[in-house]
Amino acid sequence: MKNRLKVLRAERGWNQSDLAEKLSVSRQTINAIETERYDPSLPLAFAISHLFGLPIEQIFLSETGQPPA
Amino acid sequence: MTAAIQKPAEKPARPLGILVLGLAIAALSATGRPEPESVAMLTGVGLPDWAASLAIHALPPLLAVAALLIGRAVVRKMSSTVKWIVYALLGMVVGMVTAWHMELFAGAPGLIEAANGPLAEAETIEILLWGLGAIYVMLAIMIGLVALFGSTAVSAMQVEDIDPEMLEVRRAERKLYGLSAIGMVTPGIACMALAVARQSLPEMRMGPLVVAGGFAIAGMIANWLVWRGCDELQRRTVINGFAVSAIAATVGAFIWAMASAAGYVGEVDAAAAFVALTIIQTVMTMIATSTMMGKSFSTARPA
Repeated sequence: MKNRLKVLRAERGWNQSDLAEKLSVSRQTINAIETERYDPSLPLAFAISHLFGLPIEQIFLSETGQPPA
Repeated sequence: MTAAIQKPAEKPARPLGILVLGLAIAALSATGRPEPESVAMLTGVGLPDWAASLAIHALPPLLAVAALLIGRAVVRKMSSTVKWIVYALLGMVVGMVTAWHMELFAGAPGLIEAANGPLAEAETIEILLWGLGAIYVMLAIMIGLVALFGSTAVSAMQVEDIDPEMLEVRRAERKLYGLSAIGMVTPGIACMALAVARQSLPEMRMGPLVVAGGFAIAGMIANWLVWRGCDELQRRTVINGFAVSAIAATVGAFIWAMASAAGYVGEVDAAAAFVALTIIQTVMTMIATSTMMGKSFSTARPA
């Protein structure tokens, strides 16, 4: 699934390790999500949404690049 | 929504892994003893004994460095899974050539015999147990170095240019790496102790078996602690590895059973089944890790 994680963390000046630490996951997990190798679980997706203060659909996009219907 | 703030592109970290690997293999080679046939081959073309021996000792590090340089040139722009397979194949070739020309850890059998009596010649299963044990110990040393020295160790083991961000190892991660190292070195020692038990005289087998059992239990505890410390991606990777291993092992066992019924292959004992399952599980877990996380050891491609 496409996502805007890299953009959002860059806006805040965080590197992958910073974001991993804030979400209590490994840096590999952040990298795997950003490179679209891995779709996070719902609890992690909600944690990301809460951290960035954005709805999930503004962070994760469908394969077409649009928010999921 | 605001546009992305692009950080200035950082220069890729210069990989030190090739130099470090060359030095590590040179140190490993120093523990070895050249095979007499290989020495004779070189003295046959006019080299003095000392030069022939030196050349054989120099062969493994030179081959390893050459293989890495060739590997880097070949795998450029390939997926991380293909890269891993190419590097593994090159490593296997270097290992086989090294094993053909010299006996590594030449002093070890003498030490074991002094402690536990004479050892029989190793057969296929014992050789595989020694090999598995050595691979586990080698991986444990690499992971242990990351646990101890963090980013410095990761940087020292890189063989390709890499985004500097990939080199970061957080303090919390180092604890998990430390437990992983224990979770790898313990089954490695258990495998080698099982090999020693199988090669020992029947009345001398209890000692190495106690060692094997103790380290196997310690490994299980360490790996359970690692599992507890894993996040969701790491757990998914382990589960994926085991799931594919289960299918591969079941299909393999069925094919073996058919071949055995037809008289083409012999029966498999418990040690052979253990070795086969462990190899399948190790390979499948590495492939699963490579597929989901990029290459192991924080070398995933930059996002």
